[in-house]
Amino acid sequence: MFIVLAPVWAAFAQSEYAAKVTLNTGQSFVVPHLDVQGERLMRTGGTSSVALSMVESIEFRFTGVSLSMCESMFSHGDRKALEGVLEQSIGPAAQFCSLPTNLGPYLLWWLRCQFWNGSQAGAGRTIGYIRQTGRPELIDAAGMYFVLMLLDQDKPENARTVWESVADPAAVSKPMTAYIQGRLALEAGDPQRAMRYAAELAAFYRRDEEWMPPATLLEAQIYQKMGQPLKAAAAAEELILAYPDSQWSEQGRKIKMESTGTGGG
Amino acid sequence: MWDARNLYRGAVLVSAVWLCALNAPAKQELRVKGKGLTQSELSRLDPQAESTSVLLESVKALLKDEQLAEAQPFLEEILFRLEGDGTKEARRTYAYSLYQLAYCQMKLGEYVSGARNFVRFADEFPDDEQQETARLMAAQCLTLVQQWPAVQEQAAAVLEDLRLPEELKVTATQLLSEALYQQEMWSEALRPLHALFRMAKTDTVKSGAAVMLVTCYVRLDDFASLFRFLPNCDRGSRHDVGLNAALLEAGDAHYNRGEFLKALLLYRQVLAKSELLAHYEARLREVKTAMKPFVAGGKQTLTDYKKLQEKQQALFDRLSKQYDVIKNFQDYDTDVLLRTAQCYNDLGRNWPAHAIYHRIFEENPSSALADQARYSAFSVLLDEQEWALATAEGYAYVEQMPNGEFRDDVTLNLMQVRMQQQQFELAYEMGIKALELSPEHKYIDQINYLLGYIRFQSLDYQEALGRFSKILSAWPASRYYESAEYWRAMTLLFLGEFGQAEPAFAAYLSNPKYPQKQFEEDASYRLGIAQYGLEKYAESEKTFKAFTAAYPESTLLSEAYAMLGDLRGAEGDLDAAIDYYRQARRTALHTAQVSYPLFQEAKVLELDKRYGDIVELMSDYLRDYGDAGDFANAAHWQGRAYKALDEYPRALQAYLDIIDEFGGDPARGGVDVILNEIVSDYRSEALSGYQPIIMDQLDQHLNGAAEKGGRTLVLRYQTVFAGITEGEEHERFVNAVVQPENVPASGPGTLVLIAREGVKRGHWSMVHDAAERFRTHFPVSNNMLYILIADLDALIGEGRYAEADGLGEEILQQFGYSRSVGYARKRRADALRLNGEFEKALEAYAEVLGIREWRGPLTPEALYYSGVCKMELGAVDEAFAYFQRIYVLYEEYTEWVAPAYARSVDCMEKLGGYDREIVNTYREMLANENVAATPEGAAAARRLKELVTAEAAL
Repeated sequence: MFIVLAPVWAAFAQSEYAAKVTLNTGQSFVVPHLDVQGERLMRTGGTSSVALSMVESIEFRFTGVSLSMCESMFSHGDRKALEGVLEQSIGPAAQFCSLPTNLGPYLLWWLRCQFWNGSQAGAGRTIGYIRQTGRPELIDAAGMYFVLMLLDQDKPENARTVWESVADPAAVSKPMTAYIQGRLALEAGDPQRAMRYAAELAAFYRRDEEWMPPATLLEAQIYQKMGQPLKAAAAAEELILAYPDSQWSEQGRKIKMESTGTGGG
Repeated sequence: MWDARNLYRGAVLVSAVWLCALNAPAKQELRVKGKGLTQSELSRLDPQAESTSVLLESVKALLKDEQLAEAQPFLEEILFRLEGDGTKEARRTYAYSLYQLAYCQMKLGEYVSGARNFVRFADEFPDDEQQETARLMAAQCLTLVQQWPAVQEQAAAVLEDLRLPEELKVTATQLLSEALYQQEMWSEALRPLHALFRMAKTDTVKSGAAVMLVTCYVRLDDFASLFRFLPNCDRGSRHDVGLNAALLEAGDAHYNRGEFLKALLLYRQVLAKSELLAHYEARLREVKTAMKPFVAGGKQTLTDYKKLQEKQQALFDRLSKQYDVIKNFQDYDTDVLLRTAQCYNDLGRNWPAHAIYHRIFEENPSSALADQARYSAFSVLLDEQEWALATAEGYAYVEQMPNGEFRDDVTLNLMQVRMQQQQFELAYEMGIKALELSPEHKYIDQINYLLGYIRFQSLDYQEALGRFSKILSAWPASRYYESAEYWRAMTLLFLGEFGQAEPAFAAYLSNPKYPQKQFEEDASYRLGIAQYGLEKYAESEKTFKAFTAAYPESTLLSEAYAMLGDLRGAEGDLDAAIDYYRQARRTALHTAQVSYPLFQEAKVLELDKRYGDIVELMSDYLRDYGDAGDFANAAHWQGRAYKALDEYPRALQAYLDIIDEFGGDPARGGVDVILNEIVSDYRSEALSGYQPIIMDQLDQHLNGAAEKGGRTLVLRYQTVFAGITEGEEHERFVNAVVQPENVPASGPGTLVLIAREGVKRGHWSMVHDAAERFRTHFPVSNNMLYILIADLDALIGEGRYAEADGLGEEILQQFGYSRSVGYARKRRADALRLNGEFEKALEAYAEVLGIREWRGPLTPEALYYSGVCKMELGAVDEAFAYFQRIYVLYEEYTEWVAPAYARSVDCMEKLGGYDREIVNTYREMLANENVAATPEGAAAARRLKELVTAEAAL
């Protein structure tokens, strides 16, 4: 079946995506873009349609984007570029997230980029899309990023409420869980407990590209709270040295300046 | 620690591998040209005699057969003959021969000659298509003899050709990179290395380039570029063992230079063993899978197949070797983690360090490094001054690793932490445990010194003396010797062993062992105290005078003057004494140093009958120090002076003024001391005339306090009234005071009243509340024993006998065998008896009977209940003996004599055969009027009547 369809996929290479629709009957077909009208999915040309209730799955394929590419670009720090790529390719398909699609993991990569790039509005929208997928593990992950957004917006009480709604944070990411717990503990005025979480990251996830830099920043902030400016400066120095030309080095300089009066790296 | 150096070298010195790869095409080209020569053919050929064409043919045959050494003389002869011949054919043959000679030399290990001839070839035949290959061959030969500038020159020359074939470009770049790298031209090496990393087609070359790039960045201190490069490293290079070893070694280098942050960042980049192994396992599988059996008739020739197989096998062998190296590293991950944690620690970032150490020993409890990690987890918390967590970590070490390498360090540190936290008993326990676990403790002298010091602080001078003496006798070279000598003298002083203390201080002060005595000042003062104790007053005075002259800035100066005052006062030199006391007050550093000479001066003034001066002195003191000073004692002295002047109303007024001023605060126990003085005055025969005045004044002040709403003060005055009134009036005041809601506002005197009356009323919870408040707020009050006894009575009243037993023990430990403790111990015995523990109760009563200070009213009671216990245990005859002792020896204690008679009769009835004695006992009992008037007496009279009647009837 797929061999027959292969040329069809190729024909859609110029569009942002193509979608392979599989019906409950086992039949499948490929469309260059999804056209959903009411409760029906229109087939190419609009000449025929199928009821959405007949659709078992929709597999999107995007031009020039794959999950492994997302992972690679994200871990290499190309988060701005990846956000742009996903905006362009996933964006048009995101509206179909409530259908049984393979969009979920792409949406999560998109959210992660938006979060770290500071695209608050976009991240809020993507969280909404992820919630519509109905996949608990993705909803938990989105909820965890939402917690961090709320903390960044200085809304700790709301953050705590959202955090409590996350069913299994450790299953999403243990380092992220430790980081959030550290942030919440610091907000709750318990710097010592916060430090234990930050230290846990250093002990167990020392090469985690996503969570090690914020954990180091958190460590520096905790030292500031504890009234240990020299230690705060030492942690800030790490941010400056290890993450050049990034928001982390900028924040490191700021903390170092606050702690020692000099922000040089 | 494992040495990364060998691995690192193995990875960086890739020239040999590159060389083999480059040799292959040259060999291939030569082999197809000749047929080879046998030894007999060779023996018939003389290079100098043969024609050039024969020489050339022979060379080709020899080269084809890899007979390189044999080919050399032929090639040299050809070059000799054609030298200077400019014909085209001759030049071509010359070029060919020169190249082949260089090749043979290279293959035979004559790298310098080979390189020279390759360069000669390239220089003389710049248009030859082999020119660039020749330069690269030259560069490779030079690599092997490590002539790096020459390698650089040849490789750079090759790279000048912009149309250079890709394969040669890679090789030339490799050679140039390594030449620059080996010359430590880090900055210059970066460009070719980046180019090489980009162009390299094989993992070996790519990884080699990555390793060198990392090293260059590290050596250039360019961490920004390093951390940009590493994430972009492909998986193969990133997982290369050489690259990781390079990171580790670079980390070590920075660590050793004290650059801990850079070291930390480098260690952090080192991949875990499991990651490296997984990568190598996958690569080995890939290579193995690629080594398929030959399929005849396919696109690949057998020769090509074999060549590829050889290449794959070489790769497989190399990967296997590296895999084995990684696998055989014991504690690789632990070691990296330890180094990382150490960096955090050196940066003062102790929390991450602690988390890592914790992880190490949690995950690798049997690792050789677990012990070190566990100790480090403890020590970083000490650095962080997280005492509670550090203590928990230290105790866990001692518990789980009693034979650990760092046991002695941990136990000593724990002891010191406990001491720093003022937890001296726990410190002592740890010290004892340290010596138990390690009889040859690394710090045995220090442990003993600290143990001695703790015992001294706990007033256990005998053990302290033993510890300090042991240090002096067992460890004369100890750094604690001087301290031990001083503290031993101090201990003797506190033991009252002045005869030994004096020479001990003198010996310390004259010991030439100490260039600078750390306790000289203190010892000089204590020497005077010891002499004073020995009644060597003249020497003592001399010592104190010398002290005041030698240490005018001493914190003990005031006390020395006070001692001089005492010494002069004892000699009757009152003016001089007063002078010294005033000097003592002038040089005082705190209130206690003011108070002592002040009250001593008052005593001297009293001897001189200068009562007005005393009143004035105390007024000034109260004005200057108020409640910060000893206001109760000042009030006492004022009152005493007024009484001596026969002006009691002024004394009373002075008392009441101070009570009104400070009595609103329940915490000021001194107020109760003054109140007690008023009670005492009220009861005094000499002042009985003032009773109405006292009552009236107290009433006025009680009303005044009530008007002002001062609850504590009101309770205090009511407590006094409860103490001096009787009958209904007394009950009225007691009822007003003894209420549970009054406990929080009560001072110590009121709490004692509440507790005692609470016992009488069976209001146990109120008694406990009062006792609890007393213990918390007035731990050093003189009334502590009374409140504890009330608490003990309450526990017994509630039937909480085990707790009562415990409290009875606590009272003994706290107050020793003082007279009032006897009652508490008797109550403890009662608790045991009431709990049915008769044997223990008997022992407890025996204790009460055995202490001389406790003899008196407690004795018949203890005897009586000892008898009761014996009865319970079935030892009726022994019980009988106890009861008999009471009415024989303690006749005046009717309350015990009467029941003792009754119990004696019970015993006789139980024993049987004592009918006559029973009648006689009743008669004896009733002969004592006091006993006859008791309920037991009445019962005895009835029973005697029955017995006499029955006897008469018989």
